[in-house]
Amino acid sequence: MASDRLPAGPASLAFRIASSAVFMLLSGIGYSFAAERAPAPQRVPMPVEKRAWLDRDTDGVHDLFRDADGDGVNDRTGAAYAHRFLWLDSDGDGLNDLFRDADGDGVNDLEVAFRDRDGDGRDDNVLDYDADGRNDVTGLAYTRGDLQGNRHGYIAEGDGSVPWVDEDGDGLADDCWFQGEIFHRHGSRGGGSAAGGPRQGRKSGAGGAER
Amino acid sequence: MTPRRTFPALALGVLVLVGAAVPAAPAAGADLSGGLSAEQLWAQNVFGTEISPADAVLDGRGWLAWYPDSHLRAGASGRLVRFLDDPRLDHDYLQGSVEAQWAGGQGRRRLTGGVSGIWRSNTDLYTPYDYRDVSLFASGKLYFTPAFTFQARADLAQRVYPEMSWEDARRVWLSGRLNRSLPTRTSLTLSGRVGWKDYEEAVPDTAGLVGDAPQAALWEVAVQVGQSLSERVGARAWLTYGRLFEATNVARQLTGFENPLLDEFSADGERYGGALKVILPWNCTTELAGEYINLYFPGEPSTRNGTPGPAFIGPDDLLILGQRHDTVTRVKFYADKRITGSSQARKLTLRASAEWTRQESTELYWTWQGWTVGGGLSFEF
Repeated sequence: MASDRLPAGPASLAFRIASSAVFMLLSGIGYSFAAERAPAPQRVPMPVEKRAWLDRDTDGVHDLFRDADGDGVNDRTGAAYAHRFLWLDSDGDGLNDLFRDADGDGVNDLEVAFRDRDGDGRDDNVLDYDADGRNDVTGLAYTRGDLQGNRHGYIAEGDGSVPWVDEDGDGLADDCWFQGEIFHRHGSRGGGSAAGGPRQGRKSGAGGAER
Repeated sequence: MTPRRTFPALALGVLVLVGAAVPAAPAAGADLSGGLSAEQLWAQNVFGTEISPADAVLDGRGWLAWYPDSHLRAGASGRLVRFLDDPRLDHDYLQGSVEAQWAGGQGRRRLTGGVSGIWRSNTDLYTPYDYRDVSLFASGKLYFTPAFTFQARADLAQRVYPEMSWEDARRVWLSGRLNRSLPTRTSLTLSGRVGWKDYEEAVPDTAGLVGDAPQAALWEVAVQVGQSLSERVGARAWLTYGRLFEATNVARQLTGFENPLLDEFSADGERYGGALKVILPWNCTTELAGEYINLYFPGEPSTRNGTPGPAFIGPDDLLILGQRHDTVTRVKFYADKRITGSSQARKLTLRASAEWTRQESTELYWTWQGWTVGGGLSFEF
């Protein structure tokens, strides 16, 4: 599995170093045009013993982890976590344009295809800091062709699609409410996979992420 | 070993097996959740031409769930119902359950199984209705798509009345539910269930003859349509049609207001209803619902105070012979205000509610109408 992501040999190593340097340069240029960069506090790797999908309240969000804005800070604990994705906020909305994980399944909500922006040979769209081939959050083994993003959580990874679901049949998207001007939506469909988990609600015209 | 003793032993055995079969996954974040609620109700009812005194009822509930493992859940809940004007009606419930769940097919298939028990205790007037109930259940859920699901469930329960062994019975329910949410923001739900109730003892009929232990059986189908009118407004309508294809002798069931022995197997009929739900700003949810219910009691006429009562008050105040037939019209309204703190895991909900009910029956005793208003709060963590 590791050989799928880490090319071997001196030529490949040289290529990786060169591509990394080029990418870092380009990302630096991009950063100069980007909005405010997120702070970079000390990052702690995910503890291995915590690797599991945990969703006791079945709201489709991991009970111990999520990073809805992709700033590298666990929204559940406020602690920075170790990761390898980059920060880019070209539209200045305070959300990372490259990586977000609103359902906390350790897979990029925005993209599921193989992506290696920093040229380290690893897929940037899954949280796997130690490159052991397992998702740092859920512990699921993944491959380049299948990040298993739709196995847990309410986000349909890749397109962020949010189908309208009303399982309790009350005519409203399941268990949604407004607080102030922010539209919240949590579901109760037991387990929260992309196949059946609660879907993220959107405020009219804003499409804001639940935060 | 009698069936009354066999079933709890069987349930306990299944519980042990379920516990042994659950994968020993790391208990990441084993935790508790729960809540408390209290609601004060005031009722003003008119029975026939007699106005009841205002009834004040305090309904307190508590619940607790423990998740020792992502596949396992244990829960307990309790309820205290206090009739402030007549403490003889007080009653309490205590319920406990353990269930295990599995998921497969990348979460598209889910299985849940478990065992639960209920203990009900009544004060004074309703002491004979004390019961213990043990049930096994298994359910499966299949996601064809995120917006198209099918659920099936089976329940096997046994209820024991310590002071009325002739009311002991086993129940079996098989149910299914199909739900489809459409891009037009319309949801369609089709559900159905079949149930059987087997009494364990036969009792002498009015002629003093003892036959086989009776049975009751019911099938029911329901359709519900929900339509989103906006993100804040939703409407729904439902129709339920059920028939008892086997009925017990209603005479064996004691009569009385809110008789707990009158269950789903006592009557059949149709329900028509509609509701409008509105999410107001500031986290306030309201719903106005109305329902019309047509109920038939196909068993033999009830007996009250030892006197057979085959004669009912019919249209134009005529005495008629036949089965009891009720119609119920009910309108409900509630408003919930949810208050969440910095952690959404804790929330406080305030509720105000009002309900108007009118019931007409071929038996004058069951003809009544009245108002119930209530207010309460709940806290969840």
